[in-house]
Amino acid sequence: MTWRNDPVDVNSLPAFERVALTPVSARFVPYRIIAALGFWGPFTLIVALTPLWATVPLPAHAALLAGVLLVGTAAAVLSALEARRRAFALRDEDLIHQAGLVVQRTTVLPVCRIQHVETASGPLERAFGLMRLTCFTAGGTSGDLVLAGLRPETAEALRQHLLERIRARDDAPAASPPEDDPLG
Amino acid sequence: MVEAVEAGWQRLSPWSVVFLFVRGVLQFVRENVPVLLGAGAGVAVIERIGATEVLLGLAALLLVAALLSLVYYRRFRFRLDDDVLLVQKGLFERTELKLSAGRIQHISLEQPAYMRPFDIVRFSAATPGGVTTELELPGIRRGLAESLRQALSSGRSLAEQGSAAAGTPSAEVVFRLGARGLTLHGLASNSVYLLAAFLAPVLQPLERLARQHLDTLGDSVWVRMVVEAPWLAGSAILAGLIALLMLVSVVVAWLRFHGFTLVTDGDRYVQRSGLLNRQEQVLSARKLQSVEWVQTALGRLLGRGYLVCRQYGGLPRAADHAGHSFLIPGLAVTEGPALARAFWPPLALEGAYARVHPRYRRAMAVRFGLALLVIVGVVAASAAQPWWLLAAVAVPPLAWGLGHLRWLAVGWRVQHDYAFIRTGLLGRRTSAFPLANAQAVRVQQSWFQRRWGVATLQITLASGPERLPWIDHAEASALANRTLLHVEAPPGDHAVQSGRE
Repeated sequence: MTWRNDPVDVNSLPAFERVALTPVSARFVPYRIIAALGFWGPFTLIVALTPLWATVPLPAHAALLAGVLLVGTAAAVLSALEARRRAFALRDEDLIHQAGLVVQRTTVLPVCRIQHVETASGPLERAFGLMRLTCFTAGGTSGDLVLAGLRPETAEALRQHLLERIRARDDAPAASPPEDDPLG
Repeated sequence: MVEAVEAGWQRLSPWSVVFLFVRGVLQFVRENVPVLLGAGAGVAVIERIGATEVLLGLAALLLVAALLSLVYYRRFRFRLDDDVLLVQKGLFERTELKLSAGRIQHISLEQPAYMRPFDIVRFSAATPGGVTTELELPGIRRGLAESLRQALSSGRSLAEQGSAAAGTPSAEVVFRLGARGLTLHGLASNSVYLLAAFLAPVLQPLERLARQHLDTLGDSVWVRMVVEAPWLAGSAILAGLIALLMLVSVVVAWLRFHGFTLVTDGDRYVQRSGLLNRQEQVLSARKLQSVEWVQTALGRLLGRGYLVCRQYGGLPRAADHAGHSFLIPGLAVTEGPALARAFWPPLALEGAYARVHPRYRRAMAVRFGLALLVIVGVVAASAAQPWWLLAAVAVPPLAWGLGHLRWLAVGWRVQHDYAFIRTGLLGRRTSAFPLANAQAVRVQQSWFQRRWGVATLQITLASGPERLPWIDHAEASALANRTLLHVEAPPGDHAVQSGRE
């Protein structure tokens, strides 16, 4: 087994953190607000309508209702802010995805590691004209990348591009280094 | 030893009925006995309906199990088409499984003691997937199993390997575990705690039994001693319990790893071990993702550790003892890192590791503190005694101590294009892998981490994610970029891309 030990100049490497990212669709913000309200709305309704006053004094009930309302609103606002931060970029060799508000995450998924690509959209996403792209890797769920809030044409174009890359790679296995073939 | 695989459908060995029967019964016992014991229902059932009826019922159950095993055997068939293994099976529903050689991550042969006279083994092949799926042939002749394994793990068809199969492969013994190493592995093994957890549900019925018999004991010397010196008696019982657990742990280690040998055979590593149940596992060097050097807290005291080789579709960490991961037990502190170099020559597990940011200590202390407070709260609530809440006073120093221990344990290093990430609390688990094995890279910053200019780097391998917490943000990004370079650039291009012509 041969191995090399070349020094690597880290400053001259292609840097993922300096790539200009494309924000996801602007409609992703209202979608996230509606989704958050859709989750917290039923809770608020239950608290508002349950005849708690039989056992709980009215001020406590009002405080509980206010609390649930506050949490719901905060969730909606945070979702909206988080949605505005979502962005992605496609480089020659990888896909970059940025997400998160309090905990900010930037994930880089090399194209040569993608096993399979899938686009999907739920009814609410379709109502807002949004689509989700999932890239599956050999790393199990922790290695998968989900790009949510894309416009359908963007998601389709990305999917086509990635599938073509996967096909080209699978057709020419000799071109890829042996350890890069995930199921070699 | 190796025999040819016939064309067309084949059956399991007739002796496999015995194997299926024993396994079915054992599984039934394992699933149901803890329930009966735990609830103390077993005694109640026997008292209620009488011992004869219970025995008759058991006999009927055994008969049904034997019949089911026979039917399962009759309906089970398999064939090998080039490099695809086809299996048809099912008691009530017919299932067909297809497995191509390229998808197989792991093949193991297992031989329980009662199958040894017939030279029958259990052949199982695991494939990567969200959940590791397994295909097994429960009971085929050893020779057939060996040739199946060769055909499937080399990816060559049987016709091609022809003469290669006839000669014995040139195997070289890399490691053999002695009695001392085996015993120390048992002592150091964390399975002591697992055993304790397993025994917990049995304790209550035992206590009940003890109470019933306490009256009959009456006025013996022992009872007087316990009454006179309760603390001494308590410590003696505790020490006895710990000694018993350790004994059991050593016995388990002997059963599982007796006669452990690791041999290399081309680009494959084969390990054989087991006192009663002979197991044989194969690891393909090409599919190796990461090597872990693990020392439990006791293992550090005893100067012992073990290596875990991880492949695709990594099993959860807790499965180390399940016998599925490729584990090399009972290694001395110098042996472990030396053996790791058998897998990847440049791997140097020894040496200095860089610490992460000191603020990590506080972040961990806060987490430990919150967890401890929750425990104190739950205990206080369930004991319904508010003075338990006083224990909360001890939480901050304890949490700080744990945070500090954690910070001391976490370390990292990148050397010769290999990353080394160490973690633990009292024990140490050092994971080493080539950067080129990364599947995805993630840089993550919480609000606190942004304040201190640090980040958590997560490198996902096909065997699972490896996290490097609280390192300098610039350093995390640089390491992420370097990892991506190794994954994405064709080999030989690294120097050019890193600015060196």
